Amino acid sequence: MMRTVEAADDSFREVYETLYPLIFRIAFRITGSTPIAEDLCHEAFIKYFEKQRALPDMDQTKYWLIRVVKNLSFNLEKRKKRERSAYEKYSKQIPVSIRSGEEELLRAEARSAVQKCLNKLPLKLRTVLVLKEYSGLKYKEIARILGIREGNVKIRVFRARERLAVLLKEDAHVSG
Amino acid sequence: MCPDKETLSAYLDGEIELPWRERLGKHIKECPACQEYLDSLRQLSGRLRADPEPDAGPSLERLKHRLAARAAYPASGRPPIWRRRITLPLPLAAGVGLVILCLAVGLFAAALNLKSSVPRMSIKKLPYGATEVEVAAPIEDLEKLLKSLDQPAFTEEIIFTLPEDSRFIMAGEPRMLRAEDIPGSRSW
Repeated sequence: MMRTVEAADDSFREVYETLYPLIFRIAFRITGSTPIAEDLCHEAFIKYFEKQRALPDMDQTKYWLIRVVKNLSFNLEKRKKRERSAYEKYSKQIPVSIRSGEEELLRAEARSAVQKCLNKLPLKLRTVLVLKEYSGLKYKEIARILGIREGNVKIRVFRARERLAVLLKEDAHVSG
Repeated sequence: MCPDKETLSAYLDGEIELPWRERLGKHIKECPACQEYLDSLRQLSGRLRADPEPDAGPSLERLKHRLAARAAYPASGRPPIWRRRITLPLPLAAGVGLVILCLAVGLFAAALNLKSSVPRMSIKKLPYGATEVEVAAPIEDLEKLLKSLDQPAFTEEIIFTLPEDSRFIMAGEPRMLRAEDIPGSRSW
């Protein structure tokens, strides 16, 4: 039987009151977009809400929700890649004046230099760095969530930092 | 000797175990190059964490509304099994289709074979009063029969047991039909 808000009220309220800000933050940093982050978070929490069994503790719930958000953003990234290549083919045939409106909309999301540069990182590096910097998780926990080795987390965090530093420097150079 | 940058990055995250952590700390204090790199990492980390981000509050409120609506009008659960949709990879679907086709062809062939191997007889009344008796038998038997008919000293005796309740009058000459003339029997 599906749990109702009333039946699981206390435990579920505790989950979303405690974890929603963190999950939303992670989703926003990975996707670089507020509405997309909201969509992913809502989907993850609704999935959790509809789960038949509650997870044993808050940490397990946190890992589970982060994993769902990560998977959803990976799926989204794949879809965006497909759509982008289709759009690029199509956009060659439309006049620049029509395209500029859409580009403006896309640019509006990532206004901060930091987020703009984060968005330029490959998703694998971005996800690991976001989990390290914005969730306070240890390498071991990140490895568990992503299903990779701890050594890989260490390497990815380092590479992400190196690339992000270069991107920020380039951005400062272009803006200044 | 300086540690590699990857190790310094892990040091910043507090991921170096004792006693290496202590030794590394000592080295960093004495090494301006490592200090500088570590500072740059700290600055980067500080910049990331200080970057403004949207408030999660309104989004959480919208989630609560959605959840309340779902609780009030729960989805009717999973559809019954005959209305559920499944997705198969194309090669697997093609394979399944091929197997079904092969089975269908095999069954059809088996049915035909069964039909042709059962001897049967039919009695037809012709419009001019004659009765035609057709005997269909497996091809091996027919060949044997035709061969024996070709023998000069033909003494083959064929007995047809006709249904007792059939009423017919024998007229004209009984005749043997050629296999090709019998419609609907492919294997003859």
